[in-house]
Amino acid sequence: MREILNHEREVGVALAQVRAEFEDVFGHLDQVSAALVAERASCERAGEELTPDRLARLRDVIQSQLGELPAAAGAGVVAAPGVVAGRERHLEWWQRGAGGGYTPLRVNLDRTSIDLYDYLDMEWFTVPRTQHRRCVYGPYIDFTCADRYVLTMTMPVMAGEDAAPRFLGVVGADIAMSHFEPGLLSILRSVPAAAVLVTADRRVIAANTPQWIAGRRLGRLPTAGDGTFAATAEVGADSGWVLALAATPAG
Amino acid sequence: MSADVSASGRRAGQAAASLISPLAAAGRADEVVQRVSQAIQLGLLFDGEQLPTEVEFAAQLGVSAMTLREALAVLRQQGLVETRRGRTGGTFVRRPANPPVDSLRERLRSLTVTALRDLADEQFAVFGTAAKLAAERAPAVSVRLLPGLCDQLEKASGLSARIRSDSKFHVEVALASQSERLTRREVALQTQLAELLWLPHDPELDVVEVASDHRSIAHAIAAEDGELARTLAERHVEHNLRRLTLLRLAVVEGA
Repeated sequence: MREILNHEREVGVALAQVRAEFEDVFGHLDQVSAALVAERASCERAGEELTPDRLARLRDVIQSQLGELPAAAGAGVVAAPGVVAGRERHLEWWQRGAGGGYTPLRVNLDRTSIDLYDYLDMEWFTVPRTQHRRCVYGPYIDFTCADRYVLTMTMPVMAGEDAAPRFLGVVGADIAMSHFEPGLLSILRSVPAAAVLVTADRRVIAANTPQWIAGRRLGRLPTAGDGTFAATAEVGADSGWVLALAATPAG
Repeated sequence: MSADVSASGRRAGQAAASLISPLAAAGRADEVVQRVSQAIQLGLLFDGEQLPTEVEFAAQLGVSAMTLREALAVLRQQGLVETRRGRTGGTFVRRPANPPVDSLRERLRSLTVTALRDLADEQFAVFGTAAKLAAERAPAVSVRLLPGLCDQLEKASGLSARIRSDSKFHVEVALASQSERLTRREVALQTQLAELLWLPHDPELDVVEVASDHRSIAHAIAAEDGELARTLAERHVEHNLRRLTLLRLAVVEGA
Protein backbone atom coordinates (compact mmCIF):
# COMPACT_ATOMS: atom_id res chain seq x y z
CA MET A 1 0.00 0.00 0.00
CA ARG A 2 2.75 2.40 0.95
CA GLU A 3 4.36 1.75 -2.45
CA ILE A 4 1.29 2.89 -4.35
CA LEU A 5 1.04 6.08 -2.30
CA ASN A 6 4.70 6.83 -2.98
CA HIS A 7 4.00 6.18 -6.61
CA GLU A 8 1.29 8.76 -6.71
CA ARG A 9 3.44 11.38 -5.15
CA GLU A 10 6.35 10.72 -7.52
CA VAL A 11 4.10 10.68 -10.57
CA GLY A 12 2.65 13.98 -9.45
CA VAL A 13 6.15 15.43 -9.13
CA ALA A 14 7.14 14.14 -12.58
CA LEU A 15 4.00 15.58 -14.18
CA ALA A 16 4.63 18.95 -12.57
CA GLN A 17 8.24 18.92 -13.77
CA VAL A 18 7.33 18.14 -17.39
CA ARG A 19 4.65 20.83 -17.24
CA ALA A 20 7.24 23.27 -15.88
CA GLU A 21 9.49 22.59 -18.89
CA PHE A 22 6.66 23.74 -21.15
CA GLU A 23 5.66 26.67 -18.99
CA ASP A 24 9.24 27.91 -19.03
CA VAL A 25 9.14 28.15 -22.84
CA PHE A 26 5.64 29.65 -22.86
CA GLY A 27 6.75 32.18 -20.26
CA HIS A 28 9.41 33.46 -22.65
CA LEU A 29 6.89 33.53 -25.49
CA ASP A 30 4.64 35.71 -23.29
CA GLN A 31 7.32 38.39 -23.47
CA VAL A 32 7.29 38.35 -27.26
CA SER A 33 3.50 38.38 -27.26
CA ALA A 34 3.39 41.41 -24.97
CA ALA A 35 5.88 43.21 -27.19
CA LEU A 36 3.74 42.54 -30.27
CA VAL A 37 0.58 43.79 -28.58
CA ALA A 38 2.43 46.93 -27.42
CA GLU A 39 3.91 47.61 -30.86
CA ARG A 40 0.52 47.32 -32.51
CA ALA A 41 -1.13 49.51 -29.88
CA SER A 42 1.50 52.19 -30.41
CA CYS A 43 0.85 52.06 -34.17
CA GLU A 44 -2.87 52.42 -33.55
CA ARG A 45 -2.43 55.39 -31.22
CA ALA A 46 -0.34 57.10 -33.90
CA GLY A 47 -2.95 56.23 -36.53
CA GLU A 48 -0.39 54.19 -38.43
CA GLU A 49 -0.39 50.71 -39.86
CA LEU A 50 1.68 47.87 -38.45
CA THR A 51 4.30 47.67 -41.18
CA PRO A 52 6.96 44.97 -41.61
CA ASP A 53 9.48 47.57 -40.40
CA ARG A 54 7.55 48.19 -37.18
CA LEU A 55 7.22 44.46 -36.58
CA ALA A 56 10.98 44.13 -37.12
CA ARG A 57 11.41 46.17 -33.93
CA LEU A 58 10.58 42.96 -32.04
CA ARG A 59 13.94 41.59 -33.07
CA ASP A 60 15.64 42.45 -29.79
CA VAL A 61 12.99 40.90 -27.57
CA ILE A 62 12.92 37.75 -29.73
CA GLN A 63 16.68 37.40 -29.67
CA SER A 64 16.88 37.94 -25.94
CA GLN A 65 14.33 35.14 -25.39
CA LEU A 66 16.44 32.90 -27.64
CA GLY A 67 19.41 33.83 -25.50
CA GLU A 68 17.58 32.60 -22.42
CA LEU A 69 16.24 29.44 -24.07
CA PRO A 70 19.22 27.33 -25.12
CA ALA A 71 16.86 24.59 -26.35
CA ALA A 72 15.20 26.94 -28.85
CA ALA A 73 16.48 26.66 -32.41
CA GLY A 74 14.35 29.62 -33.44
CA ALA A 75 11.53 31.87 -32.27
CA GLY A 76 9.37 34.71 -33.44
CA VAL A 77 6.05 36.02 -34.61
CA VAL A 78 3.87 34.57 -37.37
CA ALA A 79 1.20 37.06 -38.39
CA ALA A 80 -2.44 36.44 -39.22
CA PRO A 81 -3.61 37.65 -42.66
CA GLY A 82 -4.14 41.40 -42.86
CA VAL A 83 -2.39 42.19 -39.58
CA VAL A 84 0.81 43.41 -41.21
CA ALA A 85 0.18 46.14 -43.75
CA GLY A 86 0.23 44.87 -47.31
CA ARG A 87 1.13 41.30 -46.39
CA GLU A 88 -1.20 38.35 -46.48
CA ARG A 89 1.48 36.25 -44.85
CA HIS A 90 4.37 37.62 -42.87
CA LEU A 91 6.76 36.47 -40.20
CA GLU A 92 9.42 37.91 -37.99
CA TRP A 93 11.34 34.79 -37.00
CA TRP A 94 14.92 34.42 -35.85
CA GLN A 95 17.07 31.33 -35.81
CA ARG A 96 20.21 30.50 -33.94
CA GLY A 97 23.05 30.63 -36.48
CA ALA A 98 25.98 28.24 -36.67
CA GLY A 99 28.39 30.97 -35.56
CA GLY A 100 26.54 31.85 -32.34
CA GLY A 101 24.56 34.79 -33.76
CA TYR A 102 21.00 34.93 -35.03
CA THR A 103 19.77 34.86 -38.62
CA PRO A 104 16.32 35.76 -39.91
CA LEU A 105 14.28 32.85 -41.24
CA ARG A 106 13.49 33.15 -44.94
CA VAL A 107 10.62 31.12 -46.32
CA ASN A 108 8.68 31.25 -49.54
CA LEU A 109 5.53 33.31 -48.90
CA ASP A 110 4.65 33.73 -52.57
CA ARG A 111 1.10 32.35 -52.77
CA THR A 112 1.44 31.49 -56.46
CA SER A 113 4.45 29.24 -55.87
CA ILE A 114 4.24 25.46 -55.59
CA ASP A 115 6.72 25.84 -52.73
CA LEU A 116 4.59 28.31 -50.77
CA TYR A 117 5.26 27.91 -47.06
CA ASP A 118 1.59 27.99 -46.21
CA TYR A 119 1.52 28.29 -42.47
CA LEU A 120 -2.17 29.25 -42.53
CA ASP A 121 -2.88 25.49 -42.83
CA MET A 122 -0.34 24.32 -40.32
CA GLU A 123 -1.58 22.93 -37.04
CA TRP A 124 0.69 25.09 -34.88
CA PHE A 125 -1.05 28.08 -36.47
CA THR A 126 -4.63 26.81 -36.86
CA VAL A 127 -4.95 25.49 -33.30
CA PRO A 128 -4.16 28.84 -31.63
CA ARG A 129 -6.30 30.64 -34.23
CA THR A 130 -9.43 28.53 -34.00
CA GLN A 131 -9.26 27.24 -30.43
CA HIS A 132 -7.61 30.28 -28.83
CA ARG A 133 -5.22 28.09 -26.93
CA ARG A 134 -1.56 27.22 -26.93
CA CYS A 135 -0.21 24.40 -29.08
CA VAL A 136 2.64 21.91 -28.72
CA TYR A 137 3.22 20.48 -32.16
CA GLY A 138 5.51 17.57 -32.98
CA PRO A 139 8.13 16.41 -32.53
CA TYR A 140 8.89 16.39 -36.23
CA ILE A 141 11.84 16.83 -38.57
CA ASP A 142 11.70 20.46 -39.59
CA PHE A 143 13.42 20.55 -42.91
CA THR A 144 11.92 23.87 -43.92
CA CYS A 145 13.28 25.85 -41.06
CA ALA A 146 15.46 24.36 -38.43
CA ASP A 147 16.67 21.24 -40.23
CA ARG A 148 16.36 19.13 -37.11
CA TYR A 149 13.99 17.24 -34.84
CA VAL A 150 11.89 19.84 -33.05
CA LEU A 151 8.75 20.64 -31.14
CA THR A 152 7.02 23.79 -32.30
CA MET A 153 5.34 25.56 -29.40
CA THR A 154 2.98 28.39 -30.20
CA MET A 155 0.45 30.62 -28.46
CA PRO A 156 -2.21 32.95 -29.85
CA VAL A 157 -1.74 36.70 -29.60
CA MET A 158 -5.00 38.57 -29.09
CA ALA A 159 -5.42 42.34 -29.19
CA GLY A 160 -8.15 44.41 -27.55
CA GLU A 161 -9.86 44.02 -24.21
CA ASP A 162 -13.38 44.07 -25.65
CA ALA A 163 -15.73 41.16 -26.21
CA ALA A 164 -14.26 40.34 -29.61
CA PRO A 165 -10.48 40.59 -29.36
CA ARG A 166 -8.63 40.37 -32.65
CA PHE A 167 -6.32 37.45 -33.43
CA LEU A 168 -2.99 38.98 -34.47
CA GLY A 169 -1.17 35.73 -35.12
CA VAL A 170 1.00 33.45 -33.05
CA VAL A 171 4.28 33.73 -31.23
CA GLY A 172 6.27 30.56 -31.13
CA ALA A 173 9.53 28.73 -30.72
CA ASP A 174 11.11 25.64 -32.25
CA ILE A 175 12.48 23.54 -29.42
CA ALA A 176 15.23 21.13 -30.43
CA MET A 177 14.55 17.65 -29.07
CA SER A 178 18.31 17.18 -28.72
CA HIS A 179 18.12 19.79 -25.93
CA PHE A 180 14.68 18.94 -24.60
CA GLU A 181 14.97 15.16 -24.34
CA PRO A 182 17.68 14.96 -21.65
CA GLY A 183 15.50 16.96 -19.24
CA LEU A 184 12.51 14.71 -19.90
CA LEU A 185 14.63 11.60 -19.38
CA SER A 186 15.94 12.75 -16.05
CA ILE A 187 12.37 13.48 -14.93
CA LEU A 188 11.22 10.03 -16.08
CA ARG A 189 14.12 8.35 -14.31
CA SER A 190 12.74 9.53 -10.98
CA VAL A 191 9.51 7.61 -11.64
CA PRO A 192 9.75 4.23 -9.86
CA ALA A 193 7.92 2.30 -12.59
CA ALA A 194 8.38 1.80 -16.32
CA ALA A 195 7.10 5.12 -17.65
CA VAL A 196 6.49 6.58 -21.08
CA LEU A 197 5.51 10.01 -22.38
CA VAL A 198 3.16 9.82 -25.37
CA THR A 199 1.70 12.50 -27.66
CA ALA A 200 -2.01 12.76 -28.39
CA ASP A 201 -1.38 10.89 -31.65
CA ARG A 202 0.14 7.95 -29.74
CA ARG A 203 3.77 8.70 -30.53
CA VAL A 204 6.43 7.94 -27.94
CA ILE A 205 8.38 11.02 -26.84
CA ALA A 206 10.58 9.44 -24.20
CA ALA A 207 10.61 6.48 -21.85
CA ASN A 208 12.72 5.31 -18.92
CA THR A 209 12.99 1.83 -20.42
CA PRO A 210 13.92 0.42 -23.85
CA GLN A 211 10.50 -1.21 -23.89
CA TRP A 212 9.27 1.89 -25.77
CA ILE A 213 11.42 3.50 -28.44
CA ALA A 214 11.18 7.24 -29.06
CA GLY A 215 9.38 8.10 -32.29
CA ARG A 216 7.37 4.89 -32.50
CA ARG A 217 3.64 4.90 -32.35
CA LEU A 218 1.78 2.82 -29.81
CA GLY A 219 -1.03 0.57 -31.03
CA ARG A 220 -3.49 2.60 -28.97
CA LEU A 221 -3.48 5.44 -26.49
CA PRO A 222 -2.52 4.18 -23.02
CA THR A 223 -5.39 3.80 -20.58
CA ALA A 224 -5.15 2.61 -17.02
CA GLY A 225 -5.90 -1.09 -16.72
CA ASP A 226 -5.56 -1.83 -20.46
CA GLY A 227 -3.25 -4.73 -19.71
CA THR A 228 -0.02 -2.80 -20.28
CA PHE A 229 -0.49 0.31 -18.17
CA ALA A 230 -1.43 0.65 -14.54
CA ALA A 231 -1.89 4.40 -14.50
CA THR A 232 -2.06 7.32 -16.91
CA ALA A 233 -2.17 11.07 -16.39
CA GLU A 234 -2.35 14.08 -18.67
CA VAL A 235 0.65 16.38 -18.65
CA GLY A 236 -1.37 19.50 -19.41
CA ALA A 237 0.10 22.83 -20.57
CA ASP A 238 -1.88 22.35 -23.81
CA SER A 239 0.57 19.62 -24.81
CA GLY A 240 -1.91 16.77 -25.17
CA TRP A 241 0.86 14.55 -23.81
CA VAL A 242 0.11 11.62 -21.55
CA LEU A 243 2.39 10.09 -18.94
CA ALA A 244 1.74 6.37 -18.68
CA LEU A 245 3.08 3.92 -16.11
CA ALA A 246 3.39 0.22 -16.68
CA ALA A 247 2.45 -2.26 -13.99
CA THR A 248 6.04 -3.53 -14.15
CA PRO A 249 9.07 -1.68 -12.74
CA ALA A 250 11.49 0.14 -15.06
CA GLY A 251 13.81 -2.35 -16.74
CA MET B 1 51.16 -22.11 -42.42
CA SER B 2 52.17 -18.95 -40.68
CA ALA B 3 53.12 -17.39 -44.04
CA ASP B 4 49.65 -18.20 -45.37
CA VAL B 5 47.97 -16.55 -42.44
CA SER B 6 50.00 -13.37 -42.71
CA ALA B 7 49.54 -13.25 -46.47
CA SER B 8 45.76 -13.58 -46.24
CA GLY B 9 45.84 -11.22 -43.30
CA ARG B 10 47.60 -8.61 -45.38
CA ARG B 11 45.15 -9.07 -48.23
CA ALA B 12 42.25 -8.67 -45.87
CA GLY B 13 43.87 -5.61 -44.37
CA GLN B 14 44.36 -4.01 -47.73
CA ALA B 15 40.80 -4.71 -48.77
CA ALA B 16 39.47 -3.24 -45.54
CA ALA B 17 41.58 -0.10 -45.87
CA SER B 18 40.36 0.51 -49.42
CA LEU B 19 36.78 0.68 -48.10
CA ILE B 20 37.63 3.86 -46.22
CA SER B 21 36.48 6.48 -48.70
CA PRO B 22 38.87 9.24 -49.69
CA LEU B 23 38.06 12.71 -48.42
CA ALA B 24 36.67 15.09 -50.99
CA ALA B 25 39.48 17.39 -52.07
CA ALA B 26 37.39 20.56 -52.04
CA GLY B 27 35.80 19.56 -48.70
CA ARG B 28 33.75 22.33 -47.15
CA ALA B 29 33.08 24.27 -50.36
CA ASP B 30 31.69 21.13 -51.99
CA GLU B 31 29.47 20.60 -49.01
CA VAL B 32 28.11 24.14 -49.30
CA VAL B 33 27.46 23.65 -53.03
CA GLN B 34 25.59 20.44 -52.27
CA ARG B 35 23.55 21.99 -49.45
CA VAL B 36 22.55 25.01 -51.48
CA SER B 37 21.63 23.03 -54.59
CA GLN B 38 19.58 20.66 -52.41
CA ALA B 39 17.80 23.62 -50.84
CA ILE B 40 16.99 24.96 -54.30
CA GLN B 41 15.79 21.57 -55.50
CA LEU B 42 13.62 21.21 -52.39
CA GLY B 43 12.16 24.67 -52.86
CA LEU B 44 13.57 25.92 -49.56
CA LEU B 45 15.36 28.57 -51.57
CA PHE B 46 13.11 29.89 -54.25
CA ASP B 47 13.58 31.38 -57.67
CA GLY B 48 14.62 35.02 -57.45
CA GLU B 49 15.31 34.90 -53.72
CA GLN B 50 18.21 37.02 -52.60
CA LEU B 51 20.80 35.13 -50.59
CA PRO B 52 22.08 36.74 -47.39
CA THR B 53 25.23 38.86 -47.70
CA GLU B 54 28.44 36.86 -47.91
CA VAL B 55 29.34 37.67 -44.31
CA GLU B 56 25.89 36.69 -43.01
CA PHE B 57 25.63 33.58 -45.16
CA ALA B 58 29.11 32.35 -44.24
CA ALA B 59 28.27 32.82 -40.54
CA GLN B 60 24.97 31.00 -40.98
CA LEU B 61 26.65 28.03 -42.64
CA GLY B 62 29.60 28.10 -40.26
CA VAL B 63 32.23 28.37 -43.01
CA SER B 64 34.87 30.95 -43.84
CA ALA B 65 34.11 33.76 -46.30
CA MET B 66 36.63 32.26 -48.68
CA THR B 67 34.96 28.84 -48.64
CA LEU B 68 31.62 30.50 -49.32
CA ARG B 69 33.01 32.51 -52.25
CA GLU B 70 34.48 29.32 -53.68
CA ALA B 71 31.10 27.58 -53.38
CA LEU B 72 29.20 30.53 -54.90
CA ALA B 73 31.56 30.47 -57.90
CA VAL B 74 30.64 26.83 -58.55
CA LEU B 75 26.92 27.53 -58.11
CA ARG B 76 27.20 30.47 -60.52
CA GLN B 77 28.84 28.19 -63.05
CA GLN B 78 26.00 25.67 -62.63
CA GLY B 79 23.52 28.47 -63.28
CA LEU B 80 21.88 28.05 -59.86
CA VAL B 81 22.68 31.54 -58.63
CA GLU B 82 23.50 34.81 -60.30
CA THR B 83 25.27 37.84 -58.94
CA ARG B 84 24.14 41.32 -59.91
CA ARG B 85 26.13 44.44 -59.23
CA GLY B 86 24.93 47.87 -58.23
CA ARG B 87 22.52 49.34 -55.73
CA THR B 88 19.99 46.49 -56.07
CA GLY B 89 22.83 44.00 -56.41
CA GLY B 90 23.48 40.79 -54.56
CA THR B 91 23.41 37.07 -55.18
CA PHE B 92 20.08 35.62 -56.28
CA VAL B 93 18.74 32.10 -56.62
CA ARG B 94 17.84 30.96 -60.11
CA ARG B 95 15.55 28.06 -60.63
CA PRO B 96 14.47 28.14 -64.23
CA ALA B 97 10.78 27.34 -64.88
CA ASN B 98 12.00 24.58 -67.12
CA PRO B 99 15.03 22.56 -66.13
CA PRO B 100 17.92 22.61 -68.62
CA VAL B 101 17.05 19.41 -70.47
CA ASP B 102 20.27 19.39 -72.51
CA SER B 103 22.58 19.53 -69.54
CA LEU B 104 20.46 16.92 -67.73
CA ARG B 105 20.86 14.61 -70.73
CA GLU B 106 24.57 15.28 -70.53
CA ARG B 107 24.55 14.34 -66.84
CA LEU B 108 22.67 11.15 -67.60
CA ARG B 109 25.13 10.30 -70.37
CA SER B 110 28.02 10.66 -67.91
CA LEU B 111 26.50 8.02 -65.63
CA THR B 112 26.89 4.33 -66.36
CA VAL B 113 23.88 2.04 -66.18
CA THR B 114 25.61 0.39 -63.23
CA ALA B 115 25.97 3.75 -61.47
CA LEU B 116 22.23 4.35 -61.97
CA ARG B 117 21.49 0.91 -60.57
CA ASP B 118 23.69 1.68 -57.58
CA LEU B 119 21.81 4.93 -56.94
CA ALA B 120 18.57 2.99 -57.19
CA ASP B 121 19.98 0.39 -54.77
CA GLU B 122 20.53 3.13 -52.24
CA GLN B 123 17.05 4.48 -52.82
CA PHE B 124 15.65 0.96 -52.51
CA ALA B 125 17.12 0.80 -49.01
CA VAL B 126 16.33 4.37 -48.00
CA PHE B 127 12.85 4.85 -49.46
CA GLY B 128 11.74 1.29 -48.69
CA THR B 129 12.73 1.65 -45.06
CA ALA B 130 11.36 5.19 -44.82
CA ALA B 131 7.97 3.98 -46.10
CA LYS B 132 7.92 1.12 -43.59
CA LEU B 133 8.86 3.37 -40.68
CA ALA B 134 6.40 6.03 -41.84
CA ALA B 135 3.61 3.45 -41.63
CA GLU B 136 4.69 2.68 -38.08
CA ARG B 137 5.36 6.23 -36.92
CA ALA B 138 3.80 8.88 -39.14
CA PRO B 139 2.22 11.71 -37.19
CA ALA B 140 -1.42 12.34 -38.05
CA VAL B 141 -0.53 15.46 -40.02
CA SER B 142 1.76 13.58 -42.44
CA VAL B 143 -0.92 10.99 -43.04
CA ARG B 144 -3.29 13.82 -44.00
CA LEU B 145 -0.68 15.57 -46.15
CA LEU B 146 0.47 12.67 -48.34
CA PRO B 147 -2.70 12.18 -50.46
CA GLY B 148 -2.66 15.91 -51.28
CA LEU B 149 0.87 15.59 -52.60
CA CYS B 150 -0.27 12.72 -54.86
CA ASP B 151 -3.03 14.95 -56.26
CA GLN B 152 -0.54 17.76 -56.69
CA LEU B 153 1.69 15.53 -58.79
CA GLU B 154 -1.19 14.30 -60.92
CA LYS B 155 -2.25 17.87 -61.66
CA ALA B 156 1.29 19.24 -62.11
CA SER B 157 1.80 20.50 -65.62
CA GLY B 158 5.26 21.13 -66.90
CA LEU B 159 8.50 19.43 -66.13
CA SER B 160 9.56 21.61 -63.24
CA ALA B 161 6.28 21.22 -61.32
CA ARG B 162 6.34 17.45 -61.81
CA ILE B 163 9.90 17.12 -60.58
CA ARG B 164 9.08 19.23 -57.51
CA SER B 165 5.86 17.35 -56.68
CA ASP B 166 7.54 13.99 -57.14
CA SER B 167 10.45 14.99 -54.86
CA LYS B 168 8.12 16.47 -52.29
CA PHE B 169 6.24 13.20 -51.91
CA HIS B 170 9.43 11.20 -51.40
CA VAL B 171 10.80 13.69 -48.89
CA GLU B 172 7.48 13.83 -47.02
CA VAL B 173 7.50 10.04 -46.62
CA ALA B 174 11.05 10.27 -45.27
CA LEU B 175 10.01 13.05 -42.89
CA ALA B 176 7.11 10.91 -41.69
CA SER B 177 9.60 8.17 -40.78
CA GLN B 178 10.90 10.55 -38.07
CA SER B 179 14.46 9.73 -39.08
CA GLU B 180 16.73 12.70 -39.75
CA ARG B 181 19.36 10.52 -41.34
CA LEU B 182 17.00 8.76 -43.74
CA THR B 183 15.54 12.15 -44.65
CA ARG B 184 18.96 13.54 -45.47
CA ARG B 185 19.71 10.53 -47.66
CA GLU B 186 16.35 10.77 -49.42
CA VAL B 187 16.87 14.48 -50.08
CA ALA B 188 20.32 13.79 -51.54
CA LEU B 189 18.88 11.02 -53.73
CA GLN B 190 16.07 13.26 -54.95
CA THR B 191 18.62 15.89 -55.96
CA GLN B 192 20.42 13.32 -58.05
CA LEU B 193 17.50 11.35 -59.48
CA ALA B 194 14.28 13.34 -59.73
CA GLU B 195 15.28 15.63 -62.59
CA LEU B 196 16.69 12.76 -64.63
CA LEU B 197 13.61 10.62 -64.12
CA TRP B 198 11.32 13.19 -65.75
CA LEU B 199 13.50 13.83 -68.79
CA PRO B 200 11.21 13.96 -71.82
CA HIS B 201 11.34 10.83 -73.94
CA ASP B 202 8.76 8.98 -75.99
CA PRO B 203 6.75 7.31 -74.49
CA GLU B 204 6.48 9.97 -71.77
CA LEU B 205 6.61 8.92 -68.14
CA ASP B 206 2.94 8.48 -67.24
CA VAL B 207 2.27 11.02 -64.50
CA VAL B 208 -1.04 9.32 -63.62
CA GLU B 209 0.74 6.03 -63.11
CA VAL B 210 3.45 7.56 -60.92
CA ALA B 211 0.79 9.38 -58.87
CA SER B 212 -1.08 6.11 -58.49
CA ASP B 213 2.12 4.39 -57.21
CA HIS B 214 2.45 7.23 -54.72
CA ARG B 215 -1.19 6.96 -53.71
CA SER B 216 -0.93 3.27 -52.91
CA ILE B 217 2.14 3.95 -50.74
CA ALA B 218 0.23 6.76 -48.98
CA HIS B 219 -2.70 4.36 -48.37
CA ALA B 220 -0.44 1.72 -46.84
CA ILE B 221 1.11 4.38 -44.57
CA ALA B 222 -2.36 5.57 -43.52
CA ALA B 223 -3.39 1.95 -42.89
CA GLU B 224 -0.30 1.60 -40.65
CA ASP B 225 0.77 -1.40 -42.74
CA GLY B 226 4.57 -1.20 -42.67
CA GLU B 227 5.35 -4.30 -44.70
CA LEU B 228 2.96 -3.33 -47.48
CA ALA B 229 4.32 0.23 -47.53
CA ARG B 230 7.85 -1.11 -47.87
CA THR B 231 6.93 -3.54 -50.65
CA LEU B 232 5.10 -0.85 -52.63
CA ALA B 233 7.93 1.66 -52.13
CA GLU B 234 10.51 -0.88 -53.28
CA ARG B 235 8.42 -1.68 -56.34
CA HIS B 236 8.18 2.05 -57.10
CA VAL B 237 11.98 2.40 -56.94
CA GLU B 238 12.23 -0.60 -59.28
CA HIS B 239 9.86 1.11 -61.78
CA ASN B 240 11.96 4.26 -61.60
CA LEU B 241 15.17 2.34 -62.21
CA ARG B 242 13.67 0.80 -65.35
CA ARG B 243 12.69 4.24 -66.58
CA LEU B 244 16.13 5.68 -65.84
CA THR B 245 17.84 2.79 -67.59
CA LEU B 246 15.59 3.24 -70.61
CA LEU B 247 16.45 6.94 -70.70
CA ARG B 248 20.15 6.22 -70.30
CA LEU B 249 20.11 3.77 -73.22
CA ALA B 250 18.13 6.23 -75.35
CA VAL B 251 20.56 9.06 -74.61
CA VAL B 252 23.46 6.99 -75.89
CA GLU B 253 21.56 5.99 -79.02
CA GLY B 254 20.69 9.60 -79.65
CA ALA B 255 24.35 10.61 -79.45
